[in-house]
Amino acid sequence: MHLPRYQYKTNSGFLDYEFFSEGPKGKIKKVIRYTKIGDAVFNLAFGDLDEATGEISDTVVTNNNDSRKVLATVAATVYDFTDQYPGSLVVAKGSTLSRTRLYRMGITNYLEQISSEFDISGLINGSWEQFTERRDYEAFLIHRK
Amino acid sequence: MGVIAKNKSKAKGKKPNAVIDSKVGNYEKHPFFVKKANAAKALLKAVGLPKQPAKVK
Repeated sequence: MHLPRYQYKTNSGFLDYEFFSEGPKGKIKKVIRYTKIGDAVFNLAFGDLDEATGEISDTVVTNNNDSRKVLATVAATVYDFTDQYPGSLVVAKGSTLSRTRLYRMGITNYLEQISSEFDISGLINGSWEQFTERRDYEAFLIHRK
Repeated sequence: MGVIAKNKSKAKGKKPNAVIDSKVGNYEKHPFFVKKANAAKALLKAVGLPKQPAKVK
């Protein structure tokens, strides 16, 4: 997929990623982390880093009018991560229902391209199922084919 | 060598989209990510993993 996205950086571990969102609110540093939570299972989380305090938040509304570009950048890191950690499972969950819905819409919009490279499960009512459109999933599980 | 480490070595040579920069922080112990990871662990403990990752239609 070649969607507009930000240039991002990682270190040699390919578990931490950084980039800057740019828009009306200025340059905001975003950080992404894949944390190992089980045998070949990693949690994907990201947020805004306040460089003055060191705090990270995923509840603040950045208002940089670039949510698609930010999501595309996060999605791009999934390719890098799974290149380095093939066979791993990535869990992703939004900080709020509306953000989880935003992820779902992002997956839905590019489902054809995504499905050629990834298997995606959605969590609904306490069970995982194959990702399908228009289902309000609580979380996602991503596996590179 | 663990499965991930073994597989990781196979990925060497594949050009990443990311710029590799040693200045990128290690956020493993940052409370934000620790909290997120613990929440995800709890979620998986409650619901488990699918037996096999689902194929996308």
